[in-house]
Amino acid sequence: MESAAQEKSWGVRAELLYRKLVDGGMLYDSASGQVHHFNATAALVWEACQEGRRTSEMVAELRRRYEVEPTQADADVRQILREFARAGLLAP
Amino acid sequence: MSDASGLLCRVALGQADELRRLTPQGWEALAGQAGHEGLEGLFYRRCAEAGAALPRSLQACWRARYRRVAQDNFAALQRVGELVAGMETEGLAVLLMPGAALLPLYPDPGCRPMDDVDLLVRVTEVPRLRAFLQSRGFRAVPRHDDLLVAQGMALDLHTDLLNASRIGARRFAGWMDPEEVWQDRRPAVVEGARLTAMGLEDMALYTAVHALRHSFRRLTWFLDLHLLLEAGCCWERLAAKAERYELQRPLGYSLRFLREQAGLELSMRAESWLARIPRRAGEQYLLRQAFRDRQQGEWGDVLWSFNIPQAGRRCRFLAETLFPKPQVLLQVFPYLPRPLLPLAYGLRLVQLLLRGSRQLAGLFARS
Repeated sequence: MESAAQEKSWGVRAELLYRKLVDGGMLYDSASGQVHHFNATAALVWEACQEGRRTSEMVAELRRRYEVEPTQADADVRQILREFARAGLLAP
Repeated sequence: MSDASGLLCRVALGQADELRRLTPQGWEALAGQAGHEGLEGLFYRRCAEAGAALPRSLQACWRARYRRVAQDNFAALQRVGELVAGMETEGLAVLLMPGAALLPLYPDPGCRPMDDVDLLVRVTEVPRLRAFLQSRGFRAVPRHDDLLVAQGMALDLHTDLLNASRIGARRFAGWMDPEEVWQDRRPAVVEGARLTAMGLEDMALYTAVHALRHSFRRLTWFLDLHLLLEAGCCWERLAAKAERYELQRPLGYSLRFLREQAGLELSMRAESWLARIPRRAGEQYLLRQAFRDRQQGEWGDVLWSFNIPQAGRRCRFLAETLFPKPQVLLQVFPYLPRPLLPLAYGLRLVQLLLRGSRQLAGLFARS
């Protein structure tokens, strides 16, 4: 595992438009017209990416908000980040 | 007060606590009403805010509807923002009308569905605007020259607020001067799109007339009006415009619905203004029927005719509404081939007789 100093800060593609909703959020790509829907957990991770947070900070926030076990929270956050990356949503 | 309308309005406006006491039958009834009114998204939001547990099937259905409306509205507004920016570089101007202009009054874009985006355009700019939109892939819907669609999005172009271009005699029943509406425009940011919209008071009047024209069919219009009044709409300016435009009656009808059917309080100034509006013989009775028959009634134009003092003009208004000009009839009967247009008047007569007998049967059943 990376140390805190080595840990990457995440970022998002600037041209994507994010809208918070009552149960999560959605992301609009004006270039493609595609919309991505996020549940509450994915919305938390996305909003943290927007703020340039690190993975460990996202995990801590997820644990704080939803009282999730540390290993589960870590797995959830990393899975969501992988999906964001696969969909081309994150900044290089 | 209508219990059903009252409950729907209370939930829509964030008072969702009484949902916790609903029985399964109550939920079923509410679900049906919410679906009929297009309020599933707003209700989903309000239930989530109140922590009210939805029945499982309703949760899935309302969530799906909420997300669909949010997606469609958000995408539409981004597209409109891009189009308007392009229009501005070509010296074209449009005003955003209700419902898109009212989205900021709602908690998020999933709460108020829209069929299309209505834009007010100056008459002289319509040809250039059509050409601009066509160059961006928009095509007019057959028989509806001012309704343009592209990629699942529809833009409805208006040159006046009361659609007098369709039914000229509407000018006798009150008139919102488009140039004055342009003068009272205001900048608006709608889901991040920087646009120009109608003024709050103009939107309130337009919403009241729109509700009347469509026989009060949707609760959304009354919610819109209530939210506008709460959002800083200046009552004195609204009342002055209603008087200047001779639209006191339409505004008064909507205010009475808010008070009598939705159980919402009006301001003291609105109440005393309402009390001063004279009523014609039969108007009170018709208004009650219109509210009662709201979801399938056709009383809107009849009530609107009460706004015309001269009998001759009132007759002409009703005649043109009941039997509009050919291009409007072709829209009413979209599958009628143009060469068979003369048949449209006969079809229209049959349509009116069927509707009229349904209305009368409803009246007799209740009396």
